Amino acid sequence: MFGIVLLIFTLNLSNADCLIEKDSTVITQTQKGNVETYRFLKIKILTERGRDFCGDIKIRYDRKASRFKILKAYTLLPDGKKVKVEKDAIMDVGAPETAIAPQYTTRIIKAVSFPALKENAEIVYEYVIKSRKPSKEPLFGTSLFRARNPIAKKILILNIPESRNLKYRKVNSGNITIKIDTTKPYLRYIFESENVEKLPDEEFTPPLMDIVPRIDYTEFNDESEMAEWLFEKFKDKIETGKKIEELAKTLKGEDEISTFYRVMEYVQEKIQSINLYLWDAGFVPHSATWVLKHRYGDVRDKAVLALSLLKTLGIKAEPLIVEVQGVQYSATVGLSSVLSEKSLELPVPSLYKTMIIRAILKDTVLYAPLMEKYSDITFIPADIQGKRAFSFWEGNGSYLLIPVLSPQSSELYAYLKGNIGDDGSFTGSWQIEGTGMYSGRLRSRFRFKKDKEIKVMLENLIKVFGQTAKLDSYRLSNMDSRWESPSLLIFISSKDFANINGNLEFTIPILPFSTRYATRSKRELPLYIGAPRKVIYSSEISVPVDFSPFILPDSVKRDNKYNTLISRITYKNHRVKFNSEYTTNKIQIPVNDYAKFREVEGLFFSKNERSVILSK
Amino acid sequence: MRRLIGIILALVFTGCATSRKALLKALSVKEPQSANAIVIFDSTFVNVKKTGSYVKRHHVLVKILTMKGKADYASPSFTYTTKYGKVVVKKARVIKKNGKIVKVKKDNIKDVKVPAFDKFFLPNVRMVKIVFPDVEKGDAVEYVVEEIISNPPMEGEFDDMVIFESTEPVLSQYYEIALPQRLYYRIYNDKDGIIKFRHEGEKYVWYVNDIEPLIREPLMPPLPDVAKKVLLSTVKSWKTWSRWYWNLTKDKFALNDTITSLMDSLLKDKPTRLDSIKSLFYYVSNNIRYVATTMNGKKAGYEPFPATKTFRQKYGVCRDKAALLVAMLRHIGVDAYPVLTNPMIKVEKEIKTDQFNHAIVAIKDKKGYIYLDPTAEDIPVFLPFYEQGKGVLVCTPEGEDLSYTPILPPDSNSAYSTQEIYVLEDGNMKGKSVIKGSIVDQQFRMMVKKIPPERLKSIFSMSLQALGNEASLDTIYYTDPDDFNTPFSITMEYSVKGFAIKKDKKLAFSLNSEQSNMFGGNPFSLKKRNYPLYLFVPTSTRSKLVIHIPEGYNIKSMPNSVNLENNYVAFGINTKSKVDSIVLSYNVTYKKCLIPPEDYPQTKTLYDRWVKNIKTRFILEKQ
Repeated sequence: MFGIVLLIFTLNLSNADCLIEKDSTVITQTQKGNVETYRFLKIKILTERGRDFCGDIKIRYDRKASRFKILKAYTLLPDGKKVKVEKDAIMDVGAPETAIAPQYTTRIIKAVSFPALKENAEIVYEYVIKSRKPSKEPLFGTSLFRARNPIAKKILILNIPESRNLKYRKVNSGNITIKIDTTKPYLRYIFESENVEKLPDEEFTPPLMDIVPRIDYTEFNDESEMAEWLFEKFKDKIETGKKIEELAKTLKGEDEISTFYRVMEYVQEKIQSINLYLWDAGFVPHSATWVLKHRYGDVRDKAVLALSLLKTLGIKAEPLIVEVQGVQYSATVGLSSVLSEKSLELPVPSLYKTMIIRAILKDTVLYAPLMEKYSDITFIPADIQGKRAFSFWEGNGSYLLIPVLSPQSSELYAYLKGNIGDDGSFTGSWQIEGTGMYSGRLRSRFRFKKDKEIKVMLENLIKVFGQTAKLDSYRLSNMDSRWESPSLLIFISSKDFANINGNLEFTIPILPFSTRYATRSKRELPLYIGAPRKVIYSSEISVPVDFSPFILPDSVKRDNKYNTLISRITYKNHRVKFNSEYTTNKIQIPVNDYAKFREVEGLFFSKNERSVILSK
Repeated sequence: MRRLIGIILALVFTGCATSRKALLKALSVKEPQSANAIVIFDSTFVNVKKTGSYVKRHHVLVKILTMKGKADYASPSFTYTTKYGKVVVKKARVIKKNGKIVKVKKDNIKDVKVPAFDKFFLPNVRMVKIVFPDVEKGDAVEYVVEEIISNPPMEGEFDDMVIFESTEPVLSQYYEIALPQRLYYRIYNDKDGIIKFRHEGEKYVWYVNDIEPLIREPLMPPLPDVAKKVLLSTVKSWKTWSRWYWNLTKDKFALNDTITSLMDSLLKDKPTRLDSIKSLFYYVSNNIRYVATTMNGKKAGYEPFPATKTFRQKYGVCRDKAALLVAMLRHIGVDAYPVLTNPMIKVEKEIKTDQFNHAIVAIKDKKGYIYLDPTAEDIPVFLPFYEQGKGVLVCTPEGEDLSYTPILPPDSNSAYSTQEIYVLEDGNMKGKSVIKGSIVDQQFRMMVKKIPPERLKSIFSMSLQALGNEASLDTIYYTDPDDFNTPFSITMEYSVKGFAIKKDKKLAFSLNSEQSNMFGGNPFSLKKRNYPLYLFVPTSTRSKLVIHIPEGYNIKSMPNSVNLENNYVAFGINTKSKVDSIVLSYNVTYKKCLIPPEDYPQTKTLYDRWVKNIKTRFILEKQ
């Protein structure tokens, strides 16, 4: 007890809402293969926010496969009095994934709402989850050692039978002490961390798994063993029966590349996506025939159908499991940051949350997602680029990185052409085209929308041309076909584009939905911005003949490793031309280089760099 | 089309027992452009018994036109509360475009607990979900689902709200109810008389054909306030509802010694009745956290926990918090009652249906009722601004009629800011803003309590970014959010790089002050509207801004003073130049909660003129 008090004194609790005084987990695997997870949690409430954030504890478990028993659940008041959790505050409720796909999963959430919470009250919670049946499956998993609230003591103990071989690794910097106790009949692996500061609360941070110290553990000996284990689950599900053959025939393209993408398009578009993470519904997928018959599937099912069709068509392809951080609902596992350090590789299936298909053709290697429906067909989704993947086909295991595409693969191009009248009014057109990531963004806004809905959206969007801006007409191209990049052409007229107040003043518009990442002046965590991309604005605006430049911004050229801006406004023959190219080159910006990135991003978004003032 | 409607109605009545040919004929309907699905029919048959128990049979046939249509319609779910009844799927099938019928197997129909969401953990609420297999573009999904209610919330009574519009086109929608009780009903929002009605004996029918999809507009009222709908109820008077809820709650108001001794300490040195009421209100509001756990009692979802239990657990939902506050207030002799309300939608008065989703408290005084919402945490007033003008039913032993909370004038829903900025010769700027006002007092006080400080700083920092290339929030501080006796204010000090364009001897800048309403969004983005512009409550925003200009610079250009006003809005800007500074004052007032579509264009014209004026750049030139 004294030890904990001492630790609390050395922890910085400013801005903390709760203090995790102790979070201790003991996972015991029996000789037969039963698994028992025991956990003890003690959390001190420091603020009213903490009372709200930490007052309800939700633990996900599979009721069919395991039993959940609460050993202790009470609130310890500052005066030492205990207030027990009442029966009706211990609840079995559905897990979010059950609402998405109840036919796939039986997982539920054990929720406990703790009573009498106030500042300095402590939550004490102790439970055990025991598997109902022994399992031959190897044990594996991940435990995080830093959180959004400070942790005084975190312990993970793995009790593994001597006969089993457990491997582990420590990922990301942070003090975790490791001890191995060989007292029979178990090998006892003890991982401990003390006095862990809270994680800063910043926006656009890399996935938690990427930045907090963690322990990954596994009973797989090596990547071959994991590959074999995975392949066993998938291999019999690949089928080439009559129905698959009939369908495959209709998908054959002019060459291998087009055939590959036609198959992927079919699987993406015609099979309804069940948005579960990779292993949410267990490890074994449905068969290809089943998926085709039902016309829906999770990522594993879609992979099975895609591989069956590709096999039938003679295209050499394989599934990859990919480490991505989840966003659909709270994920417990995610991305590793030790991407290229071979020595740190560890076969842990639960780190992988999605699948994609890789085709190895004569001259080229192609990657295609399974759940996409908006991006161009050949694009590797932004959230998958640069991620670590594992190839397990035919039982041969190997780690690889999904390529990071160049900024040119995700271009947003906006060309504005128009005239400003003597009264400051504007008539003109705006042509917007998007490739790669931007093709997805354009389609997600406009695909499946009704004409009237699109008009409401566009009327709002064109307010960058003035409050009176009117949508004269619009044209959308390639919204349903993902083989060519989508484009939007808008014809606009506005009475108040330019202000005439002695001078003629206007701001060249940019699309109002671009994300500005570097809003805070300093960061403690890296800034995560996703796939490299390029935004090109080109404008040509005729102005009344009796005006000439009064104030035009200087040209801008800024360049660093992370982002680049080249921007220029010129006036010639009563025309104002604006050209701007903004490129982001990296997925993530380190803390030390954040200021450089922020400066360039600030110039790109600055209205002043696009402002024109002309005088008579 | 008339023939097609006839076929559809035949299908509706026969519950799809008709021939496949008829079904295919119904599905041969012309596909509307850009629709994702078309609802061929959506029919509901309700059979109510004298006890109020009922069976509601829902029969739907939808043709799927796109993958989005499939995602929207091919996995419907139906929730129910186990205390009242159940939901049973009687039929579910896919009709392939070639006429083949695929019956949905049991594996694809699941009855599961509803998932936890936010602070709602409801183990006695379940969800039946049908996942239709093998659905392709051009196929149709059809289901018959029965909601069987054996223990209705109010014995012997029935009520319902039926919306006759959808985001996809509907070819035919039909609602039929048969019941022995007298039924009160009314059609709303149907100027064109599209909803047809007939009544024979115990049977009442409403139906529509060929309904265009509803297109949402920004800042429109909630859907039930504007969509075509029918309200129906067997309950004759609001007093019946009022007495019913009073009887559900009256036994929950008993207190124990622990509560009364806490109350003694809270009420010590509280000289007036109002001070005592405030003290108890703040206690319940801020010390009982909001969590929904297992729904209590026979009338789950309505019945609160006993006050002693809520006090002991220090958590509860609105009805639990309201019951505890009523209990405490009644204990000190205040005439307090629970109140049913709905902060989201308009509660229609004429038909006495249960349109409530929230419980608050009323205190009876000489002039009428004062309303208090103890669910709203960290506010210095009894009722949050968003509950102005909402339907309230005070629940008393004698019964009360439905009334509405008062709508306060714009100045009582205000935000005031004073800003002082120093434009520097290099084009950068330093500034300080102080924000206060009654809405700020509620919204920002709650924000600083609920949002972690680092995140809060980030939110305010984000709001400054449009001022220039790089805006830094140097410091942010605020008055004590727990001191409800002192008006709350927030002060920000910031610096902005690239605030003004610097060129030769000139500095040019504009202010990011295209102020809309206080709730975000440009309220006048659309040229015309089909639905009213919904601004929640009347509001007033006033700003005073002093711009200090660098020494040696003259003002060459700046916005003119202008004041524009009509029955709905007032927009004003007054500018005054001094030797070394410019003083501006802004006023944006929305006088009403709603601007109807017919008055929208004229009001928009005022807004457009105002925005055009404030967009004018300030241009300074060095002598």
